[in-house]
Amino acid sequence: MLSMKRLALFLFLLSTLACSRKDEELTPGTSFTKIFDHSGFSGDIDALAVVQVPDSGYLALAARDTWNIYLLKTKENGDIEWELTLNEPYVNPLPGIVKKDDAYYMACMDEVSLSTYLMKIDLQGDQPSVAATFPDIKYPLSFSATPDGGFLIQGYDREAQSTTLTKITTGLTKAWSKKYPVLENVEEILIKHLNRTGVRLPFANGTVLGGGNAGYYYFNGFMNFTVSLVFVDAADGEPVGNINGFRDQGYINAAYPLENNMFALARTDFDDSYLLPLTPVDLRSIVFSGDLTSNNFPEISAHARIVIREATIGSRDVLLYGTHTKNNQVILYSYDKENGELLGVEYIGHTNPYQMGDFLLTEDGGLVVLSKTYVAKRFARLALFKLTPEEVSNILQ
Amino acid sequence: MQVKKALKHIFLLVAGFTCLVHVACAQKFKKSGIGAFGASQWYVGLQMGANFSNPHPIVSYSEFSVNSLDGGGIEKQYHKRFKNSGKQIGLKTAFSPFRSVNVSLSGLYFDYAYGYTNTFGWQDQESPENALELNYDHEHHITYLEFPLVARYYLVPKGKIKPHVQAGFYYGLMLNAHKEVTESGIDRASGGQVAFSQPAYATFITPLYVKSQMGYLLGGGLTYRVGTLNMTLDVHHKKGLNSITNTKNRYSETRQILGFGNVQDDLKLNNLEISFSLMFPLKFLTKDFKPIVL
Repeated sequence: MLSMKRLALFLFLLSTLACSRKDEELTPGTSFTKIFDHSGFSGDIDALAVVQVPDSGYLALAARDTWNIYLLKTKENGDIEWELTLNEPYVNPLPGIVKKDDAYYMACMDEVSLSTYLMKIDLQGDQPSVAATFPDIKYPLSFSATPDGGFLIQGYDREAQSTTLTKITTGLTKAWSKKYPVLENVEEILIKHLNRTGVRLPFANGTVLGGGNAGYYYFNGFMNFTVSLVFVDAADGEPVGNINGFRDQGYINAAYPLENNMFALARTDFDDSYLLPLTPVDLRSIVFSGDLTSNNFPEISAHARIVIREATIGSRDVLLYGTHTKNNQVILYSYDKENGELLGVEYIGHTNPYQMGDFLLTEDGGLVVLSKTYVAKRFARLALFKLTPEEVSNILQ
Repeated sequence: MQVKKALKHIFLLVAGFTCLVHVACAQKFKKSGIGAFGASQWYVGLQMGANFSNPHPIVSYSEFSVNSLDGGGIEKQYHKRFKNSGKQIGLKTAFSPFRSVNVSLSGLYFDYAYGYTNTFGWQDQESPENALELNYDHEHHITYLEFPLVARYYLVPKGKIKPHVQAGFYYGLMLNAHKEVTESGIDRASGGQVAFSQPAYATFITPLYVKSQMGYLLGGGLTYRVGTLNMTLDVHHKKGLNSITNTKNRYSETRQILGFGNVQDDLKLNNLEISFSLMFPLKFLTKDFKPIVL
């Protein structure tokens, strides 16, 4: 009898231990949500860019209190490592952090002269150093790295009432600069853009990829009365074609160049937003953005920032669109890169309001989203979401 | 439905254990001594009661990240043990191989409850009288289908009232979890001092917890015999041995759940359990239905 009892006890304990399941453990940094709070009431913040740095942490760029430059470095798990607000005269950080030769660069404006600085960011948290100054480039609006190791900087010449595009060499000197007449004074619109009292316009520039287009750059900015996506010759900046918008109310909101004359585009038409994942573009033609047909996405907030990224998730090449909804949730759309078919939609943030700043795929196959949120329904703060690879794959479903 | 399913499992388990014990105890008739028919007894009955949890946080987490100058505000202040109460109910079967020892197995629907508060504050540096304070009170309820296996030793094995000490292990399968959050605060930044309180809202948080927990228990109590019934009052201290938090879902699932910068800490659940049992003997000596009394 006793042996049977012992057997029963043993079986019970064995089944207990066998059933004691360990749910999957995550290493720190695989998944997190972080809101970077402080105890002050102080003003607004605009999330602009995020990159992952070699220690697997994140470097974020934002405009704080209208246009002051705010840098935030986090650890891999999203906790603050350091934060920095740059002193005057450095203001108006341009969206984007560019990596070049293992260094990270940002561009900004001189508060008084309105000229342009290219700054090298120190990952240890010291003040960024000025890598180059460009006194002739006024009202800097966007910048990007070019495949040859140089930079492109978009600005605005208020006297000539022209958008400017300047090619910077690897030695950080000017290769060429070109003006693109707007034919009207848009300085007031630009000032509202810069001090964030009006619509933030999607100024951008970059390089057209491969196919027969290796020799072209593009910029999104004012030309011929409208916010236009303009294609220019990489040798001298001569415009070759463009997609016109309608004044500052209809425009290409985001452009991501693909191979063979294809672009992933998003356009805005007054308060409506359209996503065009695979759009053939004849660089040497002039078209009207309103003629690029697509479904209206009524859930997207009017004039919201739209970010497009390319990714391989699992074995699938996809295009990811990130923006935010009218009720201030971050929303990610995934499209099949082969046929432009919508694969899935993911909403992030159900409790606080969140607005898209930037997002990127991380080295572990996850995804990180930099956004702006409001804590206690009133204080603007930066927030960083890190999604696991599993969550990223859910965007495809 | 969860409760119905749990009760079905409890019934099956207790019935199964009873059969097992019955087979184990099947014996040749012996007049006396250990193993004799009249020397042992087994029981089946009901167990119910209240419990009070005292979570033991291992590592604390928050959605908020603050710089070193500001600090604070993100730590959870866990409620004192008796602020949140849970309850348990189920079936119990027990076997006494001889007078002073009793081994029992229960199948319980066990509701653990615990809570914490988060307090946040913001102040206008230029006008310090402008300030906002927010308090969030969270109450979590986690229900388990729990199986405690307990060995009891009677300090006074004879008599109507028998005190005992006991120890054992338990294993729980989580059924579900939900929470209630209440927001309140003082707003000194809107032209006066306004104290406000929002209605509590509730939400399911099952994905935030792992599917099981296990631990050991120590305690004691009293058994009082009334006729053929044994009424027992037990008090246990239960110590959880594993973290009940599902680390995989700590952030991802919290994004879908109402709260305020709140994510689950890694924690073990310690618990004070007070149970009342009504146990019926199952072995009878005579045709006139007289039970074996040990």
